[in-house]
Amino acid sequence: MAVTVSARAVVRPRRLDRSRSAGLLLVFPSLLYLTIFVFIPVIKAFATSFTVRDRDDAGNYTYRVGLDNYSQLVTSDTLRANIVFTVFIAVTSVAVVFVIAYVIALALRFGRGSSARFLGRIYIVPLFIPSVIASYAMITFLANHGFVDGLLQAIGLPDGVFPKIVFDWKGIVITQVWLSLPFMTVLLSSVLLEISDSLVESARDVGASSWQIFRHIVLPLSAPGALIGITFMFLGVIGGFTVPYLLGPNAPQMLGVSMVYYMTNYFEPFLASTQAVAIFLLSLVAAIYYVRQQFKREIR
Amino acid sequence: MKRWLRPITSIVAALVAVTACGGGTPSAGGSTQPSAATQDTELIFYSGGDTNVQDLHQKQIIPAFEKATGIKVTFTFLEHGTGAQGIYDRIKAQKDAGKTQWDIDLWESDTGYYTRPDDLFLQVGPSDIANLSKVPKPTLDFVQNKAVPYRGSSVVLAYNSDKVANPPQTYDDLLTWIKANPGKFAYNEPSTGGSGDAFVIAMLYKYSEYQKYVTQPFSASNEKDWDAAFTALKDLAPSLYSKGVYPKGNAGTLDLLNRGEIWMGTVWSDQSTQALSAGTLPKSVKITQINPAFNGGAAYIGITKNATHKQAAMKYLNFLLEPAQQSLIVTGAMSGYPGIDWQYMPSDARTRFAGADKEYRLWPGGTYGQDMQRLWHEKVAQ
Repeated sequence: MAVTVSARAVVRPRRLDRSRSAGLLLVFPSLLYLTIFVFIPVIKAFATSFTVRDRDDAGNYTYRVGLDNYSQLVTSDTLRANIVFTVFIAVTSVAVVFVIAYVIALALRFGRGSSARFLGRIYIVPLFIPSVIASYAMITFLANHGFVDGLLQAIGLPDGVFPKIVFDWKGIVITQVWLSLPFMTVLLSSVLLEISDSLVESARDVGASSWQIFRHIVLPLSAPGALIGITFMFLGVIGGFTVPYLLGPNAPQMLGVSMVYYMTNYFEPFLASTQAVAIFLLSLVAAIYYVRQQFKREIR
Repeated sequence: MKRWLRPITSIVAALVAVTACGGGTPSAGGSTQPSAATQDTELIFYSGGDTNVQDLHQKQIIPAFEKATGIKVTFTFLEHGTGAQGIYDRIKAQKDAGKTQWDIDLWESDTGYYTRPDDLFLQVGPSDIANLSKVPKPTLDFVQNKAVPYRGSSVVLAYNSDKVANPPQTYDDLLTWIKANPGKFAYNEPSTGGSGDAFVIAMLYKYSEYQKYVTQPFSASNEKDWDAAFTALKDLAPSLYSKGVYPKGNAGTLDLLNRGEIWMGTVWSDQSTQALSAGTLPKSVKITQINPAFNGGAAYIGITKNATHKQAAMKYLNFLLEPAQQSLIVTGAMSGYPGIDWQYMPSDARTRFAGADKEYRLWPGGTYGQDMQRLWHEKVAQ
């Protein structure tokens, strides 16, 4: 009797050990990937951002450790404007995408006509078009004296009235919205699918109007999932390069563009790293929010 | 010894023998032959860049040179400067090892390599290469005669001849024209293409002394003169295309010219003539050069200091600087400026750049370039 008990006691932890090592083995590749491509670069960028470079009159460099790069983020008009601009573009794009995607998702979920079905097929198209192609297409489409302007002038709009969209913040927002719409719509659609028909129908049975159903049932139930979508898109826009580079104004620049300029054109790798940290911190706010939402979900 | 190991050891032994022979031959040759061979029969030439550079040497110059001199040229081409640093290190290693006959005679690469303190390149003058007397002195001074400029390109002024009858002759004329024709001039964002940089550099040269930049080493104090230049550029913004939109890249300006959005802009000599030949710019667009000119730059080839075939290398460069070969560069697909002065060029070559067949000014780039681009973004961009 005593022998069998001890034998069991030996076997059990062994099994546990095996599954634990198997788990570690499964996690290892992604952990290695994260270490090489995420953790080490982040730590390096963070470390470089504290390297301050001084230059003498002949152009020789001396290096020291300090916070000067960070104070430049605040004191330099250019860099400060770039940070504000980046946040502005990210927030505006996300807000616009969210509203449009929500309307499309609602139409797809509750709409019954052929137009809803047509919409369901067509909204996905931008997902298959690379951002470079989309950006150039937007330039020819929306530029002053471009396609749309030409069309409007043909029906009587005077020359020079068409607003400046390309090489302006509006151009970035419109293109980001266009590119992000499918992703946001897919996400919101799946969130709305989780809301059961019976819930909506029973509300209707007791006399709730469409607005009341939306306001008190659909919106609250879809909010957590929608907020996760918003987080993802915010992260995507804030570090973007292609769209703001091709469609944005010469100044201010979004941080992704500005960082590349500081790195490759001005040969200021340390200020570039500092901007990378700034993007990282902005993303961190969104990431923390996302993790908290996920955590809440799991508890539920 | 184990049986299965035998074939491997024999292979290793064979490899050792082969590499030993390979390494032995040149050094044996080096000790017996005098360094200044009177009759070189071969030439080792390393180059890099775009495929049009490869085509120029491989398909045009080298066959003609081999036919004319009987010297066999071994040409190695590395696209887009890949491994340029590796070639440089290879030459330097031979210097450090004290070798007297290096295995690369000619090297074409980025200008900065030739004047590095390692001193790996031969200083040449008209006594070595007769045709150097036809080369404008500043382009030779720029590399301390340690390499030979054999082709170039310059930023020029492109204008729509349907709208502009008399293009500006000087930079001040140009500024007056821009203010008199608001919205009809553009230069691209400096960091995105050299033709935009050139417009800014011309303004810097208006407020600072040109000679300080091409004859003296970098000095940050020279940049004190730049404030006035950037203020002038900022003041110009309302008169520019779309009240101060700076297109992205050299192609951005060409595109605006092509669409008739602007009547004038700064463009590269080679890009604009190629676009005119290809029909991507309308024939109404013409190019001209102001006086003093916008900046340009030359492509150089250097002879290594202890080149095994020095005489052949000098012969090749002299051949390359003959007007006949220079014409291939100007009129061919490359659309380059000649390395020699325009006055030695045949008239058919000059007509391709009619109005812009002039010498260009230089710009040291490097730290000045980085600072100029950054300051432009801080003080002018909007």
